[in-house]
Amino acid sequence: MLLGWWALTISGVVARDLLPSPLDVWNAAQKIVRDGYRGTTLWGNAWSTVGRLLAGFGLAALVGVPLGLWMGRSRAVGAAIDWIVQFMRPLPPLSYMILLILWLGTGDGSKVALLFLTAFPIIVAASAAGVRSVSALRIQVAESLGASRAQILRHVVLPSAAPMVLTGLQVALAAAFSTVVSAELMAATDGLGWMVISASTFLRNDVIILCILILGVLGMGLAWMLRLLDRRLVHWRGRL
Amino acid sequence: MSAASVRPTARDFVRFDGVSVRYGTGTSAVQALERADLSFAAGDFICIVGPSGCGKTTLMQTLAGFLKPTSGEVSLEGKVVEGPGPERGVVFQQPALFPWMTVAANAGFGPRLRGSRDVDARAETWLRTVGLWEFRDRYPYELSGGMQQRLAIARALCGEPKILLMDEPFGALDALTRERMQEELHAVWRRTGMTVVFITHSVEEAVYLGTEVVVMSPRPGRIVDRIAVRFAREMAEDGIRAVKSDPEFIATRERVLSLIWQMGET
Repeated sequence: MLLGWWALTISGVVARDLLPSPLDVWNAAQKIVRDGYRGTTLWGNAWSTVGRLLAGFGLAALVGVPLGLWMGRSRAVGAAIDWIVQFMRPLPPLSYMILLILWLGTGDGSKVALLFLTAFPIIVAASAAGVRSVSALRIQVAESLGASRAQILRHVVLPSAAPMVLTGLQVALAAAFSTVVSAELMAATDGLGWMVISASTFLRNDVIILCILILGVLGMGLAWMLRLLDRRLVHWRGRL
Repeated sequence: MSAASVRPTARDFVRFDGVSVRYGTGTSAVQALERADLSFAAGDFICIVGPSGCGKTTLMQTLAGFLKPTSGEVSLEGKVVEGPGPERGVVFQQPALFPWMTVAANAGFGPRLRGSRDVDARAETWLRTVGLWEFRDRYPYELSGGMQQRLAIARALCGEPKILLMDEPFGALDALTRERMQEELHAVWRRTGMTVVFITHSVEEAVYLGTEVVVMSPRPGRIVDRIAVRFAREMAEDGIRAVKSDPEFIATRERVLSLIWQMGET
């Protein structure tokens, strides 16, 4: 891919301004790392993006997992909340982004809220489904060994639901990641998405490509970390 | 369907008194079990056979406490069953192990729930009995089907139940593994004197494992006959293979089979 890109740029088929060569991007990267970009640093911007992502996603996980587990356990709670989750889930988060900006401003508040709303329904739905799919036989076995309701919840229901909860977290992280960048493209004063939009007004396509590469690597890294956690926590996934 | 063949037992270790179970309501209601009366003594090995839909699993579920009878009651040692409890261990056709726990942790799950101090010792005893001690640090998904079922049995026994309820425990195993498991279960029963209720599709299995074979018929599910069998108590050292060629064994097996054939399906 890198070779194709490089060949395309030196052959002159595409104008240098539109598609900078790998070398141009490398040079831009070195310059930005050294001098910063329009008063901001690359790491600062990357950190802004990741910080928002982790804040919104983390909050959604913190609230969404317990709520989802509770919904899965209690029919009444499930019925009360499920329709809200089902309504939120198909909505593209950017459709209500503008409201959040009006209410919470263009700073971190509106973005964290947006990411929370993106990740939350996914996490809640997956956690509730995880609890509902717990094998009735496992629960009967635990009951017949004298387990109390609390013991069944802790020793049987929670571990049984764990694989689905972790899947939900991974899907939610991917959704939140694409939302955070889109949100920064719409309105922000820092972050990698902001860098892309800012660079586009100056036709600095080398910077745009640099940002895209960093975003890709960041996304891969975060997903990889969750997968690692998944493999450690639910080593039995798909095996029984 | 003569009531005369239902003999009273000396001790009422387990009693089913007019136990009926009806699923659903109105015209779609299904009478899964109709007025089942059954009692047996401690140390018995009761095998329940009958075609699909005859209510054998339903019968066991009322004793396990997973299912409340629509009418009638079930009691163990004179105490009416109100729900599941550790004095009644269960083993299903599916091992239903806890895949996040090691083999040893699965085995010791029951005693650990109750905070027993000798969890490890008990788990070791039963894991050795079922030949899984060397696999104690493995996870269930690393075991074969037969080993998983042995672990399920060890887990049930480790809870020190007064009675072991088994619902087609060997139904999912291949023929060879199944025979070995039968021998092992039989050895455990001989050694411990444990009371066992054992549901099976295999009449042969019922006749050589059971001290008594209970035959049930479907729609509505009811007990049609009880046949006392002597092989289980005599089969000490000669094993299952010797029993299988005994003419009396064959006669008993044919008698149970013909009872089931009369019901119109097997």
